[in-house]
Amino acid sequence: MKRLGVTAKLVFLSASVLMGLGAAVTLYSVSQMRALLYQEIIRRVEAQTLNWIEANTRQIILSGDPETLDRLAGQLKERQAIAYVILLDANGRQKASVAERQGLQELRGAPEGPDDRMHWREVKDRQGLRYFELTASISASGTGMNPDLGSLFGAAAENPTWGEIRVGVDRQEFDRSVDAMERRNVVLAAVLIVLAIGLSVVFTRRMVTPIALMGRAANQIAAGNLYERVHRGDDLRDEVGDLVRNFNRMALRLEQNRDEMNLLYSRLEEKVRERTKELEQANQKLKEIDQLKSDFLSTVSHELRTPLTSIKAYAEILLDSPHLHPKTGERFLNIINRETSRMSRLISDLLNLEKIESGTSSWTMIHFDLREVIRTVGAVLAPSAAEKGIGLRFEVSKPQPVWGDPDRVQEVITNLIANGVKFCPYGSHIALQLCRASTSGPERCVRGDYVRVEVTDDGPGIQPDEGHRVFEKFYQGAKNGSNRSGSGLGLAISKQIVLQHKGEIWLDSKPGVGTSFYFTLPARAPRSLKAQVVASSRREA
Amino acid sequence: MPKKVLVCDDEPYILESVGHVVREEGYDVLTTDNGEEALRLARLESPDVIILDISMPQKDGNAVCRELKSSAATRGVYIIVLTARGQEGDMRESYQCGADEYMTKPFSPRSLRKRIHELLD
Repeated sequence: MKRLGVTAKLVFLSASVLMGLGAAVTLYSVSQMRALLYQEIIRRVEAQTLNWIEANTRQIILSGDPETLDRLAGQLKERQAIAYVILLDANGRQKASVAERQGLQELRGAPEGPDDRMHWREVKDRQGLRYFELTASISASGTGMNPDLGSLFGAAAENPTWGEIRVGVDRQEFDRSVDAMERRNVVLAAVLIVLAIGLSVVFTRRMVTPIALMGRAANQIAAGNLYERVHRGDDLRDEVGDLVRNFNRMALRLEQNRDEMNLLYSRLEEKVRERTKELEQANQKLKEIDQLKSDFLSTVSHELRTPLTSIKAYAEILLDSPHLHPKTGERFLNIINRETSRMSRLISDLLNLEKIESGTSSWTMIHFDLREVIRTVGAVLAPSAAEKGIGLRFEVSKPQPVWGDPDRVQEVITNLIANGVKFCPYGSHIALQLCRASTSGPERCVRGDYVRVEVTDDGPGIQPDEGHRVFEKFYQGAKNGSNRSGSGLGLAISKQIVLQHKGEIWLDSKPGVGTSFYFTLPARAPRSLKAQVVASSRREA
Repeated sequence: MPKKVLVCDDEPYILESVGHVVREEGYDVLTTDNGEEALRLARLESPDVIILDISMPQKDGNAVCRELKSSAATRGVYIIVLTARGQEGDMRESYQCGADEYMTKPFSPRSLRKRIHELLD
């Protein structure tokens, strides 16, 4: 079954009510008017007939000739609504007639007359035309005339009734006038009903359209289109108008809330993404650190095993070979001794490096003259250099103050020169130079007052791809076999020491030409530390 | 004619000690401190046993194993890997490369002596 809208329902309702009412009122008024009209015609005909009888009784009784009777009847017939007139004598013989209808038949009794001398009946002629017929007796007495008059007519006195008159009223004519009136009424009622239905349609639509639109808008909102609004009926000053305005306010609020929520949500999502990324990075870093640690451990164990292998092998050989040549035995014991030193150096270097890297080593940072440190290094390394025929040249003429830990700086310079001595062939040269620099170095380029130390040799050089790796722990380059005496940590430690001083260390090398190592140290204490230093030196003073 | 043993290790003291142990038992000993030379000597001298270090610069021991085992001339040589790398993954890798035996440093000269006798006598 098709769904009926509210508009249709309301229109049907009002239409049926109005039509029912209209029909009832119309029917009632028509029947009332019909009755009134009926009464009016009946009474008029009765009055006219009575008047006629009263005026003409004497003449009828006295003359009684047909011509006079016809004339008198014709007079009555002239009156409004009267269709025919018939006069009958007391014996029922027709005395006169005007416009007589043929074959009249009685249908039924009609309204009561005003007294027993008059009565109505309804008749029909041969053609089927209907008439109301009034029958009134014509008599000398009882007509309101002077009773003396009756005595004037002798014969009439014995028989006071002369006859009767029948007057026909055309039922069709009567009906026509009633019908015309009825039609007018019906048309009027119909026009009024149509007008009323039209108005009800207009008002209902005005009321229902906004509601229908709201229904549609609510559907859209439910589907997520929160920008949907109702633009009909929002100017109405009734409950529907209130509803529309409140609905629109609600939709606006919903839209704002959703926008806020979306914003919050996107921010939250962004935040979650960031955090997740951070966590992933941290996790990755931890994994890398873990991997580095395990790599480092396996490298350390490898590095420790190497001298240990020699120690064990030669010790067992010595134990198992009672007849070994004393010279060979001594050589083996020397190897054991050297490898033991190597191992202990490795261990102390490892601990040293670990301390610097973890920040637990202590530093004695002071202003000192770099010349003195260089002099000490020269004294220590001169014998081994001389042994290999390597010339050491230190180009240091004037005092060079720097800010740092003198023991650690000495360690760095010793490492660099000792490396040169170790890797350079017989007869090479190693030179050390100092100069001022305005930046920390090529990598970080921190501006400031620095002293740059250069250690240059004319040895075999380092391959370009190894340039950076030499500062890694345990990195020992493409060596020629005989130089595995170090721990492999010297340059790594040197780098950590220089970094601790906020300096930089780097190298420049051409295979076959030579290698230059550079590192920088601050010439002065950093500004933040200066006050402290001054204060402490004053205390000491 | 005495059996030949090729020893390859980049650590000179270890190379010397292994060489000494094997030579004392009366075998011919060839020593080298790098993988390339080991391959060259293996092809040239056809040793019976190779005692091979893994961690060496340039050509490492596993690469030497692979090349030895992939060439018909040197496939038959018995390879003893002698390395400071003691982890299980390292051992598996060396076996996959064709090593016949895996010994870890520090080694015992007595065991090595015994093992060489078992293999060569």
